[in-house]
Amino acid sequence: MLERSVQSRKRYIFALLIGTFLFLLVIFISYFIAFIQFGKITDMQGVTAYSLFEKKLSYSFFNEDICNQEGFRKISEDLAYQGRVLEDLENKFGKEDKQILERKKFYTVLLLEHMELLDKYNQGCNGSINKILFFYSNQENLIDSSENAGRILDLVYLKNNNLVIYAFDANLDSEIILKLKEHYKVTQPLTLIINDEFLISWPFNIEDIEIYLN
Amino acid sequence: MDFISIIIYISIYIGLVATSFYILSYRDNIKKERKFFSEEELPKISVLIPAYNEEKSIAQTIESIYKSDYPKEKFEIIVIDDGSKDKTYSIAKKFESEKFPNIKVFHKENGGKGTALNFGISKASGEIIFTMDADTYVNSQSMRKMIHSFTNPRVMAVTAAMLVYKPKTIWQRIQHMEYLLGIFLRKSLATLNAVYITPGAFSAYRLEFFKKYGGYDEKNVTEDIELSLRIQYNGYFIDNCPTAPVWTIAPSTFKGLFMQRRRWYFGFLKNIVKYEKIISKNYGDLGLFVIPVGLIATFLSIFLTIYLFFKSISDISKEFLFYQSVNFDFSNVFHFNYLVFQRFFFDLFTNPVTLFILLFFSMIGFYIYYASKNIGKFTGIIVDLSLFFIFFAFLYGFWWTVSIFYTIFSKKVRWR
Repeated sequence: MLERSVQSRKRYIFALLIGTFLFLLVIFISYFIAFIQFGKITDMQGVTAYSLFEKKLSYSFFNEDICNQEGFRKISEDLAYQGRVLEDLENKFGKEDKQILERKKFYTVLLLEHMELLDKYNQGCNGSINKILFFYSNQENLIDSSENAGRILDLVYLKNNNLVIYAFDANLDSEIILKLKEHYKVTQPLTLIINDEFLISWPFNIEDIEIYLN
Repeated sequence: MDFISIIIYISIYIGLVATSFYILSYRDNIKKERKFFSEEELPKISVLIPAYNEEKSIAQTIESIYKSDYPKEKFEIIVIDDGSKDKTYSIAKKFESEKFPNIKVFHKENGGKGTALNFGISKASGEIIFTMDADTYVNSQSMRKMIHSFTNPRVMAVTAAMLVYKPKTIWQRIQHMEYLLGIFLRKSLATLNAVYITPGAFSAYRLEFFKKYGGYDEKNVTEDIELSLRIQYNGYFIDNCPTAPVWTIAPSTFKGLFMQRRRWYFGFLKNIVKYEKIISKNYGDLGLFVIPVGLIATFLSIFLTIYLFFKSISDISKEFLFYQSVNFDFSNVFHFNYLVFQRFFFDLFTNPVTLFILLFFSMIGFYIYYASKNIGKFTGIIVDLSLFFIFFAFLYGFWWTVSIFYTIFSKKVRWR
């Protein structure tokens, strides 16, 4: 056999370096995009908080009409979006990420502010918007059930226009969550509170929920 | 990170390092000075066309090779009818008697492509042997362009830029893209002296090699792969000429394509076992990197294709069962808004795999640019590329899985 040899050993090293660089660059870009999104969510939460406080103060102090549904709907949609993106960011950065946990706590406060506004709207404007509080869990053994429950609620939401769903992480290290659970007598995760009255626990299906809706 | 994600990232990493390596070797070698034969030095060539039941294409094949700009006094065409049951022989014979002085047509009993080629080699008087399928057409300048590689005495074979002739069906369009993308890869392998397949449809060999190491392995289902590996095994080189386009009629049906690929991959596995000693540093970049990485990448891609295929089926059926179990009314499901859309893109672009796919798309863009630069423009690229992305990975995994099954369980694969 005629002798053969490797053309260039340096080329292997360069290829390894370029391949590694490209690999890490792409991972970095994906995290960079997630960080941009995190910043966007932080800004968005600020704007939503301002809108909520402004609306509530206008009503409490200046007796302004809160029956204009348009502004209310916008805030609801923004909050729903923020909830989903926080969920995505949590999956990306991990459930223990401090920054995400802080955002989730703030999000919980916003949800409760929104819930209070919804109650005022229902009382003051003869509204009949349904309200569901969903206490989910991120614990390993409950993740699948939480996801399935969440998907059922998504479907209920798609079918019912006059419905607002508030999802709370039952295991979040937050005083407000503890008080909320106490207030609604929630003893286990994957529990729904429908219109402040009806408590149902997993497993449930669409009909089990819709039965209690206005 | 779960096991499957680790496999995906390992596959991507290997792909990136391998692609970087091929691009670097192409860049390092492309500027090397190339020698050319003068007009007087051009060697005599013999074009062998083995044919079995090729009455539909044989005339066009002969005409295309005869239109070559290679000096007529320096080439001969040898058609070997391998016991056809149709009019292949009589059609070819007409060329011999009526039109062309340097064409010889022979008839022999059917014995397979390898026997026909060996028969042709025994009749050839050229220093260089071109082998050509009877359903293949060449550009008039291709032979002249390819021949200059033989100025290097260590080069024993030269491959061309293989293309699909007038792709029409989905399966031909997918192959069209595969062949186009292969043009760059084959050239970069040639710069490493690591080409290990000389397409049977059209390749050139030095007659000296056949004399020294014997002709085609007549019992081999992929006699072209066996010959290529034998050339490499004996330490010689196989060059590539990306500016020499050759069109072949690709299988037009799923079954036809499946049979072809099963034969190719089965043959490749059998022959790589036969020449297993090639996988060592004694064979330079070919043995140290090209074949080992190719094998690892193939096995990883098979694993991923099978896994993702069954996972997709399982996920879809689970979703369906879930929606059924909660009595969901599917007619109310179409509710999309801007936020859903925005979130979809967030999910997409924060997933590194999506970004890696985009990176590989840009590499594919470069490969297509390279192909068009060498062989000219081609049409239908968007449709063909889309079909390639949708189907190729699955088809590739499927063909390889079946081929491995045939190899392990020693099933027989035939030419026809």
